[in-house]
Amino acid sequence: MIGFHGVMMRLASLDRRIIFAAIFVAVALPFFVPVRFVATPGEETIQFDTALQNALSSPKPILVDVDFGPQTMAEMEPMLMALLHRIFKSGHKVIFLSFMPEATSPLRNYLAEMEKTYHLTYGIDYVFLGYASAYAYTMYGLGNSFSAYFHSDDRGTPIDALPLMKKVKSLADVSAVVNIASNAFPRFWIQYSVTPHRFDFLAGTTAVSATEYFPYLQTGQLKGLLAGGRGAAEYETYLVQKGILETSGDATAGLGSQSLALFTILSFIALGNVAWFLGRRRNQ
Amino acid sequence: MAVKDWITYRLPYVVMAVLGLFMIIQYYIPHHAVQAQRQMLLQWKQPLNGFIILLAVGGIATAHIRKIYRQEKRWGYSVITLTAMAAMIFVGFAFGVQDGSVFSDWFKYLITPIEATMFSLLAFYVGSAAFRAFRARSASATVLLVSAISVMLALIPAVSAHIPLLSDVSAFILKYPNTAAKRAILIGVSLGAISLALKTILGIDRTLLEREGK
Repeated sequence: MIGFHGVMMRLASLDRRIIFAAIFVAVALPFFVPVRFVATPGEETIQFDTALQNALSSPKPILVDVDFGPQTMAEMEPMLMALLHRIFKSGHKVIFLSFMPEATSPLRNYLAEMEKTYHLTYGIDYVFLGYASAYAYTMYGLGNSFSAYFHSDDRGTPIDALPLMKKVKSLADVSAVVNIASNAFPRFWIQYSVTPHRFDFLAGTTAVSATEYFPYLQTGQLKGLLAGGRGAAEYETYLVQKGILETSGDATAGLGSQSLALFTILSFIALGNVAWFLGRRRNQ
Repeated sequence: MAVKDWITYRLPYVVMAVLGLFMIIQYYIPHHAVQAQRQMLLQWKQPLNGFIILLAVGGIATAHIRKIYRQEKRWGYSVITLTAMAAMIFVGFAFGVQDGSVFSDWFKYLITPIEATMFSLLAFYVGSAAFRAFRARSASATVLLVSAISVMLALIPAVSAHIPLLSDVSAFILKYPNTAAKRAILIGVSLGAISLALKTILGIDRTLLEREGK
């Protein structure tokens, strides 16, 4: 019969397949057993909405840059959807663009959904300029001219023929830029465009990369930040509280999987440390 | 030095020096004559990107063709890579890339789930790595461990709702020690980037194009 120490020693060399199975169960379980979590809006989330509200108070359109692919869709899509509801419900005009080719196809679908929900007219209420390569140069260059970088929109219409773009010549003609990105593009926006051209900039990022942006929040170069799935869930709760959304969305639904997965990982960390500590004492 | 060598190994540095210095100087001269040149240079970057992609595709193709030709280890994967690449290029040019096209469908129903699956695997590896490596082996490792546990626990709504102090601790860690460290890294990286850029522009760092042994 093996004693407590024996059990701990076995746990210390736990087969990784057991860990994989535990994480799989933790992620999948909330899909079958409804566990409801609500994320209380934090300081950063409220700051994000306040900055967005300032932009929505201006008659100028908002520029939204969407840069995430299928890898981070679970985390970023609910964030973008909450933002789209927030902007379109206020009746504000929006210009969309993307620096990531794999972001364009899903974005077209989201916009088609918004068009139906809010009865939007393409070219008047919103435009999608499509994909642009050379992101850093384009971010910098948009400070002087849109037409130099986008001759036509995603549908092939010359941008001079789009009513919404008639008054938009450069970034000085937009009320704010919002970048929902799973990569380092918010940092490039700040470094290449916000600093030389001075405009309000907001970002939504993955939880992993959010910590990178706290210095920019403190300096004011970034006016608001939504951090990962949790940030998106907080924003959904905030929008429900403000009456903009009727019910919370996928980010809040995903909190169950996220919480259980985190709890499982934390349990394994604790287990690993106890087993390691007991093993060390025994060796001494 | 032969003309050919000069064109291959020296001319790129002259181009880099002239354009690099211009891009620095233009930042301080708002005159329209200078800004018009800057705008033109920025616009050149977009078609240049097309050539860069072409170069990258050529590079990938060459590397995999060589691997197949030499029948190196796992050369079968190179066949799959080349076939997939050729197929995507063909359907893109032949039938267009608009929604509903073959290219768009392959992208949506093949590449999208493959990429999502690859990224999802991270959760499993993070769990396994955390179990094996996240140990309180020293004082600094213990500080890291406690900080990570506090931030992770604060992300669980059921925990942060019952222990508000945990949210405050997490916010403190993110706002102060994290921001200070990130800022230090940012400044370090920026200084490094400036130094590297200056070395390249001034032709001090010539490792980019020099031939081996020269």
